[in-house]
Amino acid sequence: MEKTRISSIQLFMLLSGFLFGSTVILAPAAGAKKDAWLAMIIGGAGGGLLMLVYAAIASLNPSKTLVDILREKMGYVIGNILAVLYIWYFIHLASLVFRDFGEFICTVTFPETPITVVIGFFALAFVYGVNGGVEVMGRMSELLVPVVPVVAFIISLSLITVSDFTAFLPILENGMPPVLNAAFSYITFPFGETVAFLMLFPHLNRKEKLKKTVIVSAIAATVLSIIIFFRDISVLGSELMSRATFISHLTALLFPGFNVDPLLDINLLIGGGVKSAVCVYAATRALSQVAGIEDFSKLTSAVTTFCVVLSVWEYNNVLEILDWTEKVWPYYAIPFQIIIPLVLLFLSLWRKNKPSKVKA
Amino acid sequence: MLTVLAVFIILIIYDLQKFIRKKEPVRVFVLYFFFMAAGFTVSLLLAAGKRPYSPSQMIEAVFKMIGIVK
Amino acid sequence: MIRKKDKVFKALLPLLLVLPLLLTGCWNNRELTDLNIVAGLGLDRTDDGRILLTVQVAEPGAIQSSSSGSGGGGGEKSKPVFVASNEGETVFDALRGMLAVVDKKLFFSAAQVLILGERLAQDGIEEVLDFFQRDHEVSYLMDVLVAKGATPDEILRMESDIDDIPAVYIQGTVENNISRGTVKKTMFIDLVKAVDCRGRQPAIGQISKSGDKEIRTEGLAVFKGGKLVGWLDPFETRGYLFARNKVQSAIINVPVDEGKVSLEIMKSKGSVSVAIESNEPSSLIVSVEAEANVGGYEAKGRIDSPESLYMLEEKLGEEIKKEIAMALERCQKEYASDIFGFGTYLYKYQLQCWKKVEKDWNDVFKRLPVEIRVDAKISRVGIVRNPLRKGE
Repeated sequence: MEKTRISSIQLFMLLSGFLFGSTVILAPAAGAKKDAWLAMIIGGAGGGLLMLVYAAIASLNPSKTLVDILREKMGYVIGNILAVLYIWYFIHLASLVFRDFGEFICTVTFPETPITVVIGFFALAFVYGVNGGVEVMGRMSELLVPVVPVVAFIISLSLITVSDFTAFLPILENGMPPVLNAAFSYITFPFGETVAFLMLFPHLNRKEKLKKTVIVSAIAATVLSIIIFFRDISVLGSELMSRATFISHLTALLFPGFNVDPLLDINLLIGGGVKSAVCVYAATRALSQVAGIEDFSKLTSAVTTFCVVLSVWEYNNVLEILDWTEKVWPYYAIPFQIIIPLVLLFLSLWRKNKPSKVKA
Repeated sequence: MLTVLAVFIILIIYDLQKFIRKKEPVRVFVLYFFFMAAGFTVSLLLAAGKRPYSPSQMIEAVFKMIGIVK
Repeated sequence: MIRKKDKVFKALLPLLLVLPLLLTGCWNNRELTDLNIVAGLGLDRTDDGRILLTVQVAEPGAIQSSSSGSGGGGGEKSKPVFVASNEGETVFDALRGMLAVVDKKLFFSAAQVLILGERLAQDGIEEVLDFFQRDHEVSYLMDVLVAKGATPDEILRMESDIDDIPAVYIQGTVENNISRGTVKKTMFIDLVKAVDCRGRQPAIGQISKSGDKEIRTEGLAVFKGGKLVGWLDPFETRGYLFARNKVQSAIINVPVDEGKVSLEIMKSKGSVSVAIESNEPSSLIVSVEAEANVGGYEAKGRIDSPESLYMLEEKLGEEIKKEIAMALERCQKEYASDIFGFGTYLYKYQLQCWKKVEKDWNDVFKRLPVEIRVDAKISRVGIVRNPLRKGE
């Protein structure tokens, strides 16, 4: 067990950076089109609850990581199997983040650079950070994540060029079902993905602040997403917004006077960096715990290399990614993000209450 | 093809010399080579233009079989 | 141990400092001198249905020498721009094919204007716009114009005395619209949004030749279903812009006492809406609030009392109303094209009603009665009050 500690503000920055992560590029809840903001409110509330579940699991099992909890509550064998599945899930998630990132850079910034090169160099830089451990990641995000909203607000100046503040009307044109669908996918992406933080929560220095931190970051992420949504729809209009590959980028293109889309790359580097760093960290930590290796950093380079390869291997083209993220991802994520954590929470509560009853 | 080979060899040599110096247990080597070998095989196949089915596609196929995703 | 690390670090330091130098360029780095910077684009269709693309390329070196070269003299002055055109099956095809004619790769991000040919516009513009949306080099902020009475090729080949680069000159005249309100400044993004927009047809500014070395950007091209259906004259255009809340300043002439008074619009706020009766659209409403100053009094009479200003206000209101009515009449009766966005109003605020009429909105729009409300206000008269007059 590492003895490193992170403060609650660092955890907040990590969580927010993680939640902004790829949502900077791939608009969440896009399926609801004009009503995405409604979906975001509903999904944000649901996502906050889900994150509270994770926080509750962590505080019921203090200073234990996800692997420890799984082994303790599910038994050694099942726990280890589930832990391996989680390892796969985190690796997969990291590779998806890599791919989103690479795809964006290759579409808009460096169209003639091979995606492998882009992802490879990105990975190289942050393996170094992950090897430093939780503390380094926490400090890094404390320094960098505040840049993300600043950039988002700078890009809002595009509103000078074109704006139509009634573009989100009419409300509920297609009724409630698409909104609820989008709200659900908003829960699984990005909120449910914070399940990876169960590997990080034990490092928080003041446990009593955990729930508050989690809730505040969920609110911050939702509010920022909604602001970004209104910014984008006011600039682009809903039809163009639903046709755009990368919505924020198109908005940035309309910045009056000069070219600000490199700013968006910065956002992506920060958000995507935090997200994939957390995922790789979680995967490697879990892996070394399952295998009984003390120092997780031995395996980071191998795991990251595999992630890079996986990310290139994953899809043939950009539309497969968007399609997959929209259609398959939510269902694929349910067991990892909702079912297993809920079972764990239930077991934790049950095991906790039982001995106390016996004592009484 | 050669680039892939070169990149992997550099990565492996870089890590191995550290592992050997610190006398790591066998587990580390096994896991390390498992991931590296998997990555290496896939990237060779990709470089050769024979892309195997990717996990995402398999998951999608499984879901389609069960009938969750249409 | 720490010593050793220190040494290694010191040895590596020069290398580390050199490495960032390698990071300055990108993979496909191209120097300015290796590019042809496109200032203006023209798009038209040939008789056999192929795309005819014209580019106007600016030569940075030549512009610099011509602007600072008055004292330097000597040597032949090279032309600041050249124009090339090429045919192709698609826009992108025509564009790449052009590399057979020009020597360096074309660079689009600085393009100022895109001029669409009348013929192309009549055939439909939706398809040809796709390339410009998709390509990462095209600026969404360039101005789009439709050429009337001349092909884009002719307009782009024109040499202007006013600016070294004709495209910049054209763009400047469009920009001047801020103070005249007789042409619609349509950026590429506006056009894309207008084509996308539900319940509103796109309308694009018009450009025509006026003489050998000058162009004129005045008027409006009216589209319907992506095809050009007709034109509005400058006055109708201004009426349209009033209704769309796009007039920032304009000069309106009002007939008074055997003469004319020019009123300068300082502020204007316009909106369109639709009146609903029993869930059916019953009339189209345009309301405009305008604020003006007296700019020039070239008529008999005096302005020394509030009453005279009230009279002018009333006449100004009538004048604006007339322009809007003209524009609406033409769009309703002649083109049946809702460029004002009445349909969008219905879609946004009266969804139920819109769903009913969406399918045949063009016909519904055509026959609905119109109500125009103009509230004009004159607040200031300038440096002098009464006009110059020989003693009375």
